Amino acid sequence: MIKIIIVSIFACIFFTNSAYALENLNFKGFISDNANILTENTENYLNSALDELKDKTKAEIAVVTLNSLNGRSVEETALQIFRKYKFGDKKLNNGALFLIAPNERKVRFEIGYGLEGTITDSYAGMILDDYVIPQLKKNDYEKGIIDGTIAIANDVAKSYGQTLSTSRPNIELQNYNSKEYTDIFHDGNLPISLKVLYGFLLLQLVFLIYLICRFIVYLIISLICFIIRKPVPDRFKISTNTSSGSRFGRSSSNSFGSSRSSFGGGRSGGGGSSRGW
Amino acid sequence: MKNNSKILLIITVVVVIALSWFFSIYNRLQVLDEQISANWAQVENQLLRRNDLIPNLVNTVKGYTRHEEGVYTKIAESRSKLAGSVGHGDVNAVSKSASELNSALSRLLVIVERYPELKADKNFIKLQDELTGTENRIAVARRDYNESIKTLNSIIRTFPTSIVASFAKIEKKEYLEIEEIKKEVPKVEF
Repeated sequence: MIKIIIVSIFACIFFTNSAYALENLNFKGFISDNANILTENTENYLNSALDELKDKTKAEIAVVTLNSLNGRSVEETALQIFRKYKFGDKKLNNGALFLIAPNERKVRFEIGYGLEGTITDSYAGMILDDYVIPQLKKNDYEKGIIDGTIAIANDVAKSYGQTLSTSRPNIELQNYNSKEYTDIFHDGNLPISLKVLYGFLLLQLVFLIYLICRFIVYLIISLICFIIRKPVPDRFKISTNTSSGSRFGRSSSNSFGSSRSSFGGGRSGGGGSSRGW
Repeated sequence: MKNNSKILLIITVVVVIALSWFFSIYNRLQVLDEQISANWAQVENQLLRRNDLIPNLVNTVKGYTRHEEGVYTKIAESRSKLAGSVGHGDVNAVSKSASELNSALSRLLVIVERYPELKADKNFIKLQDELTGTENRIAVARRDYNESIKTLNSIIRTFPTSIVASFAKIEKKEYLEIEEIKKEVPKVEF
């Protein structure tokens, strides 16, 4: 009875918390296109540019489209997403988020602490006014998003004394050599069967390490128990029928799961600029 | 003798557990207190940043609208009042002067609405973006500050952690409320 009560209390806490939390975003590279307004070609193109930026400067720019803001302001939503996924290097805080909510007709650049000097609020507003809003008004979401992202990426690169191979004005999507992106394997050259094998081996390794650790703990405990002449408590004994099935199930859903948390850990304090159209 | 040592062992274990709990709460309170100071510094930081932006904005607006001296003096006054209240850790004073400045800025924004050429001015758009961005930063900093206050206050108010708090001499802190700038234009009736 007490168990049931405790479990239900925990369940209540868990559910009340998750009810207000932002749902997980599915990141493919740097893009999370929840409103489905970007073609795969565009996503690959942007990802390759943003990947190049990250390689050269450690800066991370994420592009997120949302179907709905759920009644919140675009500023609040952008900050929540930024703080959840932490774009940019942990020390440099050089992340930025380009948030597009086509149904509410709102866009926002959320700029991390480290980039506030490069992309000032007024500059972000200017990029939106000059590159993004005119395209969005023409319902050309893709071009607006590409132009805005590439413009910001180029400015960030420039502030680090770098240049990107994708400069803003001539964008030739058709001729572009797309690079495949997946959540955890960034080289993108492995066939899927190999990836699965890889993942499986990785999990096996983790499990093996876990078993070894457990065995060491068991040895120490039994040594202590031997010294104080007590039987080894059941909790520390290694049972032979560990529920390995559920263990694998759990960890595999973690590593292959949807939420990518491999962004650097940058912070933001609400800098940036928003527009409606 | 054997019984005695058993009791002693139990007492020792209980004391050790109680002490480690006490110190973990104590340390948590210290960390939170430090966090609050940092968050407060951020609030003041952003308020000052906005203070620095205001003269530029007012000058640009002045170029288009010459007959609104009253608003400009009010802004200048409350701006220097805010600058004076920052840095003393006085939440009430900051809250009061920031609200005052906000209401003065609301009046400025109402004036701006009447001048279409001003609203199209590139320089003005830039300044307004900076101002809105800073407003947003102030809002974020204020929210972070209030969140940390909430965590601290709930530790201080609830039993048994309240015992540790009274021992550590950490007191409940006040939330920061700032009256927001009203963006919407009041209706003019003829």
